[in-house]
Amino acid sequence: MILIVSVSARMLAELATREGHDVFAVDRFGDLDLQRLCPSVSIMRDLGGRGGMAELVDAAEPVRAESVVYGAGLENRPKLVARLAAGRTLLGCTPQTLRRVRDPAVLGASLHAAGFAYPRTFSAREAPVRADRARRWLRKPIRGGGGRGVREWRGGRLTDDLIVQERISGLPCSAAAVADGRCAALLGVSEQLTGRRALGARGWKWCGNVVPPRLPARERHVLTDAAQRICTHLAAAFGLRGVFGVDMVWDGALPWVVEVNPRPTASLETIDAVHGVGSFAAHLEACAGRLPAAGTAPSRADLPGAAGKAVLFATEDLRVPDTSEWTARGIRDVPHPGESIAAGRPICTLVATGGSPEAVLDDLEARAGALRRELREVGVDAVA
Amino acid sequence: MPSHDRSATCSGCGLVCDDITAVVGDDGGLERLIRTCPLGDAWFAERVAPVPPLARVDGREVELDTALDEAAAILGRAHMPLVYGLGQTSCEAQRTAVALAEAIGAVIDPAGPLLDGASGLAFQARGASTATLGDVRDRADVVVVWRADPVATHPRLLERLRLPGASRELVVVDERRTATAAKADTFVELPASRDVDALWTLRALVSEAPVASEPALDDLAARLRGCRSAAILHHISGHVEALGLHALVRALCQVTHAVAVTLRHEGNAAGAEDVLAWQTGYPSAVSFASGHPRSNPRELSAATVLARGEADAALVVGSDPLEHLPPPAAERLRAIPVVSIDARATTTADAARVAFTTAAAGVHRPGVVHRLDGVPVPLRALLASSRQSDDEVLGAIAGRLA
Repeated sequence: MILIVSVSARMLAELATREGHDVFAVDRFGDLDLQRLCPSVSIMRDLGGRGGMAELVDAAEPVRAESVVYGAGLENRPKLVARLAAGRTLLGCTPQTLRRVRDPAVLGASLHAAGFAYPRTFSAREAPVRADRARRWLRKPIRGGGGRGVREWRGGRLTDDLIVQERISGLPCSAAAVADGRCAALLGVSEQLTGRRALGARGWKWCGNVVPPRLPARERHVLTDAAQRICTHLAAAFGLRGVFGVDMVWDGALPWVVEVNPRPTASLETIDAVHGVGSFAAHLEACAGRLPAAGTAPSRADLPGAAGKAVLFATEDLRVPDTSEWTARGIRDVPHPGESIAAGRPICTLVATGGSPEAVLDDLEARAGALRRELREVGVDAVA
Repeated sequence: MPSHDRSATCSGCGLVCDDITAVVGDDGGLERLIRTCPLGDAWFAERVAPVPPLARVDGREVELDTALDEAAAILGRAHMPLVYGLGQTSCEAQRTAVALAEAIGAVIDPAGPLLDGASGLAFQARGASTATLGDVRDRADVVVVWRADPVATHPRLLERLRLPGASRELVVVDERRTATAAKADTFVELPASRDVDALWTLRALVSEAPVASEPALDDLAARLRGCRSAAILHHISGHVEALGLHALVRALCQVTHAVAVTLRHEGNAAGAEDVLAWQTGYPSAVSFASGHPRSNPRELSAATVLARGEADAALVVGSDPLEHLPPPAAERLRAIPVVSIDARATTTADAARVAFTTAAAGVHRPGVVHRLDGVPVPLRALLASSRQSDDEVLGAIAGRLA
């Protein structure tokens, strides 16, 4: 049995069970569709916890499983990953790898040395002295994720848990690749959706992915080739294992790496939907030291179609109606009937496929609007 | 009934059987017990056997006042005193012990969570569907005994639940074929290490989620879903396991009537957690160090504060922790001054700086205990004793600290 531990385990559980794996999931939300996929423990629903990473690991420790895959949230907690791995086969990057690749200074030095673009990045202590005020800057939590806590920075006091990074203008993208500790094979590149008001998001908050990115074909080719080279370099430099993600900004000429997510990324299901890469199997194979054979990874930009996912956030406190049929409507991460959701929290995820990324995004945002209207019209008592 | 036959209540295990008859001789001594089980016989015997002196300091008999002064001095000068045990004393003594813990800014932790598992904490976290033993006897047509062997630990449980019985099914889940399993209609062999995934898999199965499983769990899920009323009697240890069991019961309650009852070992373990929760809001691991109750089972359990070397004195009431604490905690307990209050002769009392051997609730003194299902049961005084009760000794120490 494979143990899956993540802030939200639904996507990984779905990819794994689709490929016939016997899995047990521990996550924060315990969404309805996750509970229908596999045995699972939700920190918030079942254990009455707040959903912190340590609580996830506490709950996962007594689960008898031969191996463990961790997802979002744990890349910032190498000590907790070490606890998860005790007595189990760790299917993913080691705690040592996490410490190095999540250190902005180490990552930046490695990328610069290899000739890749990495924005100027300073620690909280360096920034007030070294950050050039003529440029635009973002402050980010060191242990961040999903764009939470990212703000414009125009000077001022910073706490030690923040970094300051130059803001690069362009299209936010994410590469998903699979590595065996020495080399990497690109699985695909997606456009990241951030701060889209139609989805209830603001600022830099991540709210979905579209595959392929909405770019001209020539730029897609250049981006894809560059992403393959970046992923190969990172796999060799840091010993990455399994599926990992690289967040980038495409400025029209080259990709700027802004962050590495050394664990399966949220874009996997959209990449799977377009390329049919069997990403969970690829993850397991890569952890065993086997990469997809050359030429089988879909690294080209001439794609047969497009796919996307969009996380819909609540813009006001609400209580959802009967959601038992939502999965059949292309909705994932489905809340339980009658569940209360506070403003700013995710309601669910919409998934779509189509002929082009533009059509997919239009479809996702139209359905998001319709669902939001439906939630208002159903009039299930808004939470006071 | 002859005049020497007296109704008695046995507090030898969590069942607290109150249908016992004690035959008292002309000399006021206990001659015979009727309807007790072997555990009950041993419980009464421990309390009527010749016991050590009422008060000892460093093993030597002293005047009661001398021992009380010494106990108050130890607890009064401690920076982080620990109050522990409480599972084998009355609710009245438990209440006084909580008040004393508050007065001295102590950490207080009943022995129940260590001896009986984390079900109480799970109840605190997520609530529970539970029932009295009478409910289980009269309503449950499927009774699952999970990771417990009540034939050995609660010998009269099956008799009181009228099990095995016609049209009722007894299922035992355990890692080996126990004495209880031998009486069961169905035995599901399951290693203890598999409790977590088995319970959460069952939760998914009773919700009709198409998850991968195994025939024994599929079958158990079908029995639970198909019954009119299910009761799960358990002695599950881990926090996640206990929460899994309560989640299973919650899921079952969507399709049928279902309850869970912890088979607590000590006679008043339930009372200890109830009394502490009444007075502080928390059932275990409570610290009064900051002047108000604060609970954190991971940080403030007795085993943890002892193993970390933080507790610098201990008051042990109705418990023998040197016989059940993990070794690092027991080692620390041996190294710090301990005040023991117990009606029995115990290893902990023998090693304590100050030891009070008291009159026993249920034998020499009346009182109230909470049965394992939470029902309050009065204890009767059968025999005379000139000794002070646990409650009286605790009150006298508190009086010296006021």
